[in-house]
Amino acid sequence: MTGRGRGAGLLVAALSTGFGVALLQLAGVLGAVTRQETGNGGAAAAMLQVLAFVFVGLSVYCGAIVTTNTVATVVAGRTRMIALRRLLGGTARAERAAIAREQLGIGALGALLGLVGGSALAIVGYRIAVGTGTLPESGYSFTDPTVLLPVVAVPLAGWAAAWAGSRRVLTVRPVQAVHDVGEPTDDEAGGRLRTVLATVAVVGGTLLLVLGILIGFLTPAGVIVAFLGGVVSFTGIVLAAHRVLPPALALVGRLAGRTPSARIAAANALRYPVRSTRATVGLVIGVTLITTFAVAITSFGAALHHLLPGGSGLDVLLNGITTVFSLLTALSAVVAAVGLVSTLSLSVLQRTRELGLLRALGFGRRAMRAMVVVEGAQLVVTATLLGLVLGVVYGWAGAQSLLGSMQKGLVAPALPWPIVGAIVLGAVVLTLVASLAPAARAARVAPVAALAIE
Amino acid sequence: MDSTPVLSATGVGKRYGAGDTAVVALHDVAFELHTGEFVAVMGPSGSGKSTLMHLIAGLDVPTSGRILLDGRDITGLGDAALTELRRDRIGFVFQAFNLVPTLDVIGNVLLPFELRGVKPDAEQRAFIDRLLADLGLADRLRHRPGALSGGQQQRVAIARALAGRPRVVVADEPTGNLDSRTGRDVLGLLADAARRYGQAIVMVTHDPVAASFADRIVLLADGRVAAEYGRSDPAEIATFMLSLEDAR
Ligand SMILES: Nc1ncnc2c1ncn2[C@@H]1O[C@H](COP(=O)(O)OP(=O)(O)OP(=O)(O)O)[C@@H](O)[C@H]1O
Ligand SMILES: [Mg+2]
Repeated sequence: MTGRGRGAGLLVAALSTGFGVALLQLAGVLGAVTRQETGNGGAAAAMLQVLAFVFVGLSVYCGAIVTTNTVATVVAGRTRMIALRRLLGGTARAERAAIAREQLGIGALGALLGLVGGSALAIVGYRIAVGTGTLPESGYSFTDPTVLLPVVAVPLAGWAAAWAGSRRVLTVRPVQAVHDVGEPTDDEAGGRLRTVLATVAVVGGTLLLVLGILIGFLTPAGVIVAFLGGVVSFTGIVLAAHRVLPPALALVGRLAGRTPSARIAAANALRYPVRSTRATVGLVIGVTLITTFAVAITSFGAALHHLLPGGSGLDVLLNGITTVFSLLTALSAVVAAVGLVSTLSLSVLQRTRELGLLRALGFGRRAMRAMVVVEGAQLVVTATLLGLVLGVVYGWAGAQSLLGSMQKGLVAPALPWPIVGAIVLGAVVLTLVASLAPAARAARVAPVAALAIE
Repeated sequence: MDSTPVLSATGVGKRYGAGDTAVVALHDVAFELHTGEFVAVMGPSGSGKSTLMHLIAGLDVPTSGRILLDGRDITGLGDAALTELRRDRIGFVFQAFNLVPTLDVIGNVLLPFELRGVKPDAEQRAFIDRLLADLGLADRLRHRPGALSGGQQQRVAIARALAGRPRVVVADEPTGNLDSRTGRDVLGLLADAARRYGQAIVMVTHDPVAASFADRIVLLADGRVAAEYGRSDPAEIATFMLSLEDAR
């Protein structure tokens, strides 16, 4: 993998393991504290444990999806190199296995870093809480073997994710080493099987989600079913992204306006649906997860505060989650930005002649820049809107299924406006950052480039 | 012709690069184009035909000499002014890749209007409709370029170049990628536009038959104007070309 892909893979593994470890450690401490204070574990400790496992599951899943997408992007960018190796006799299978193996190693290293970092974070957090008198001393030793769960799960998930993400290697043909045969139009659609799988996952997952909410009226364990439902249905949406995103892109593209640069930009985002999907799906995932977490945590926090005594321990946990989570957020933004920059750059690079034509016909430099920015904005806005909607639904479902039995009714979805605001701001910044270099390049294309015949 | 030319180039030179690797593509070229005139520029490969077209069309700037469009010197203009000039006053037909692939036929034809930020008025719209009908494109307006044959694409490019009634249409080997029959159709259309609408057109070609559609033929050799002829038939033009090669 390229340096950038490797670095991102390591970071994803370290963060998602560290997140999981820190959560499990904190849940362990809080469980011990609660037992010590109240004499027995009680519902609160059990619920914290469930909550911790759900979030660990989410972070492993999030890491795996981000890894799949990063690997897919990296592989797409290395088509020529892979083709060359295929030309010289390498098999596609071996290429793929090598990518997956490499990711396993990266994942293992990241997981160890995460184990150390996450435990340290939890210990320091606890010492601070004890120091400030927020939490009492307890005999908790931070050596509970359950914290090893993410350490094992993350590299394995990464390995599987890399295998899934490198599917494209199979479609690379040796001739692509010697001349560019152009972007295959619908290479990754994967045909009917993928669509069927995706549909089954979306429908089945949604049913599970509903079931989880219903069970949640009886017991907090409903959240586990709802979590499964969320994971399955969202995986379905990601699988079907190549069908879901292009129409959404087209819809958002209409909002861009009717100037020639906006129209051409809007049409362009739809020109290579597979590529645009790949660029946006990472962002959809990121925004969905962020929103899910935020909505769920805000809803939990609001509801739990008046249900549980000793809310300060809860605050530590929630603050811990929010802190580690901000790191994950930043990371998914970085991964999304990398994907977006490469998509936009490719789009500009491959269209030199067309851009020259536009310059020849009278597009000014500013119009060229605007065109690239609009193309990027269309991708970002679509992903952000979709992610926000999905995240609110999932986050609410999580809170509802966990708290339904205690609230004796429906939990209002709590919208964390500061986080929504941050997401929108982040989207604007991301658009500008990601389109800066490609826009400058597009503006530099000389009008005579239109006349160049290869 | 005694009227003032739409376009006049005097003492135009163009050098690419600098130092040892510099290539002088044009030396001291003079060229004029009048309203309603269809001029063919011919010459061996590398003689500077495309270079001259780029300079005339404001796609590039000369290293010496002056080019006047409607009496206004365009040689000192910056990128923004040249962009505006191309948008408002020049129409292009290239050898290939003339069209924006994501726009349909009518979108491509109307693109120059959109770039100027104007809508064609009733008279212009009627002109465009007639043009599209003449070019046999009337039933193709909603097609993307990818769904058209090479000849059809070239006709769309011609429609776009003529639609805005630019002061000058510049065509660099517009029939270079077409079979001879389709090529002849395209040339007929250009000649027609010059005659009927008074359109000024300058066209580069290697084909004596194509050049026989023109009112005047300018021969370039080694970056200089080697000869000029009035309307000629293909056989005569072939002879001019041969004599040029013998002289070399
Ligand atoms: N961008 C450039 N950089 C350096 N040299 C160039 C460039 N463009 C053209 N030339 C040189 O200038 C000379 C004239 O080129 P030009 O393209 O005008 O020829 P042409 O008459 O159009 O030829 P053809 O019939 O092959 O199209 C050639 O020697 C060419 O190599
Ligand atoms: Mg040429």
